[in-house]
Amino acid sequence: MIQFAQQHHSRLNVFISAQRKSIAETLYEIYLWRELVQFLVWRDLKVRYSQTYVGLAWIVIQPLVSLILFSGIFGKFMKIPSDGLPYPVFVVSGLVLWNFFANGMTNAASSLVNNANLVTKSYFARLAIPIAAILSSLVDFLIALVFAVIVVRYFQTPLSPKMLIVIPLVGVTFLAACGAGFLLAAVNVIYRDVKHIVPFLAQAWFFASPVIYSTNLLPPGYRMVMALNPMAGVIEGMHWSLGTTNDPWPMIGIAALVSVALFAIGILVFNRLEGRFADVV
Amino acid sequence: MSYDHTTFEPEVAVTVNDVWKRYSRQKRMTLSETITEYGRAIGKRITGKGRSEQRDDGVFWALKDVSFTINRGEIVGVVGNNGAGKSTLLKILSRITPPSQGTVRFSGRVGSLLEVGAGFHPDLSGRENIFLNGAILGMSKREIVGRMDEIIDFSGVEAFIDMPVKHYSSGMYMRLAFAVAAHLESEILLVDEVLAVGDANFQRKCLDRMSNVAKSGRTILMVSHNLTAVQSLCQRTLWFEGGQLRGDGRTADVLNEYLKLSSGIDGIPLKTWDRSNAPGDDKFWLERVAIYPAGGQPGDPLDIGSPFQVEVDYANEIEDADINVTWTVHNAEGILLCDIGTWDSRPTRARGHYRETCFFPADLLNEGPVYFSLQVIREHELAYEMPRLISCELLDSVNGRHGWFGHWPGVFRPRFPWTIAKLDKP
Repeated sequence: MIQFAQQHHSRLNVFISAQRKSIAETLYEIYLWRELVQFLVWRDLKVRYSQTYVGLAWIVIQPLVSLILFSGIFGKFMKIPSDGLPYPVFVVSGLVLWNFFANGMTNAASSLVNNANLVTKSYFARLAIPIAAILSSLVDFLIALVFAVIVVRYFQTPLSPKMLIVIPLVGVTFLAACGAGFLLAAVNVIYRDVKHIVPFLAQAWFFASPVIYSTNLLPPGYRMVMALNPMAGVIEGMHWSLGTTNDPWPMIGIAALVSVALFAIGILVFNRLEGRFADVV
Repeated sequence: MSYDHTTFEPEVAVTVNDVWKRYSRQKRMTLSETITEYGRAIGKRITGKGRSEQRDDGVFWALKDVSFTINRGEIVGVVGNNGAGKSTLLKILSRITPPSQGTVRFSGRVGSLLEVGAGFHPDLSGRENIFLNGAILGMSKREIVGRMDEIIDFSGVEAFIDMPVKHYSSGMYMRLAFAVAAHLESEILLVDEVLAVGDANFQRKCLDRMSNVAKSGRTILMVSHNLTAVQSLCQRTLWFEGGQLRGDGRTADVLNEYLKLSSGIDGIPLKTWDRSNAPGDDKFWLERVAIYPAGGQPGDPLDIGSPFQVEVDYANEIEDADINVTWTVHNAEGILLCDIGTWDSRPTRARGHYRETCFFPADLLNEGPVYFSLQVIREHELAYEMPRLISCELLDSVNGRHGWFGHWPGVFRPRFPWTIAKLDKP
């Protein structure tokens, strides 16, 4: 069992050895550096939007444009069934969470390399950097969520208490984005190939997630295979909250388990490679 | 790494125990090379072949078996040539890179300053960067808010504090960055050569602050090339060479040992010849030239505050020869500092071996490399000219610096008599 120092500061009575941190120690360390995480999130947001012409509106413009394109091509033109929901409502509910996941993962993947000067010149819980990247995407998501609610109301889909499911679904998405993001961020420090892989990965993952199509299009047995992608369960849950008839709970359950596993794997890989960051970045 | 709450001997602040750090000298493997490597390793394991083959060709040890302790309130300098392991040690102590083996234990709050202004973002204002940089250094939000006015005041950029730092001059930027660092409150402070930046005024301000920190009873470990600063700030010095702790003790003693070895690298203090390879001819040839501090021997460190002598030994085969040997002395920029020979009315020399010695007084030349070229004039004609025959590095001295360590300009650095008198005028 691990015993931590009584003092609430990470710079007190430090002990350094070649041993790697456990997951619990890593999480405790991140807790100690929570103020730095806050500042990094705030810096990311401020820098991202301060010198743009329309500023925060970009957070809405991105899903709006995707929504118009998807609704036009897949909804109107290809007539992909959307389980009885208006197609734009169907898409937007999954899209905002998907964007949170994809942006979080992508930003996290490049975050360590982009902050190389911090990594080589100062010590703090290294995980603070990718976590901040994902949390700043979470802030973007919250604004995009307002946009999604507006779209839902525009198409006169009724709001219901079921929609509160978005809160645990965001949690599952966050864990999945962290797991994938930590892993990619750490590997990216050592092999820059990752930078080129991430866009393909995000694209393939997008098509493996039921954002623009319904899981009902799959042969029945395949739904559970698809559920291994945590974003499938999450998006299925979003559709359910709007009134589709599939029972989402088995898929959500699998998504939660896979996300937790991915989160743990992400931290383990990160901790394993962490010692080399400052030397190779 | 973990957080430890065992109790320590109260007076020990830092314990470094058997620390080793290994680096691979190989070029970085690409992803495909790594995959093939893993594949090969798995293949070997399956076939059971080549298991004893250890690939240790590209490995080198940046630190080898380093152990020391630092007591509370000590100010310790770390010196050594490039690649001696100083920076690696500091990176390990700062937790930037882990040791390959061994442990480090701190008792008290640790702060490290490897760079001022880490994490400064050009698009953020001065005030915002204070928050960000403070958080990276490990200060809490409350601490930063509490010291905000003090930090802004110290930086001297209050008029621009809400402006993005990309509009700052580099001087303003450095002042603000140092202001944050200077207000980092920790019982143990690890400092790299952050002092080597900025103009003389700024350096002085930084060093004043360092001295104050030192006087307040905190523990400081300082890695520096600025031996003058080490000499005046640190009572104790660690000397690293080839990744190992070569010396540990009183600063004066350790630096003396260190300089004895390293000044020999920077200059050629001695040359000797035998008859077969000596410069000259069958009537006159050189046997030895040497430069060394008074009372020392060639290879000993020379500093600007101590006298030294330059010697030339030669053999003369001409009876009643008119020989005039002269040294011309240049600095690193090639400026001729002086041209110096005997002041006596030149006596003629009988056949035999001679030694001529020129005594340089203390406090004449400024610090830096000095090159001695020899001219031999026989019968009023230049017979031989040997450029840069020997050389030395004159080291700086703390004398007269009064706590300032910037570059002292000028080719000379004499200490002429100087008086200060108060005049009785209304």
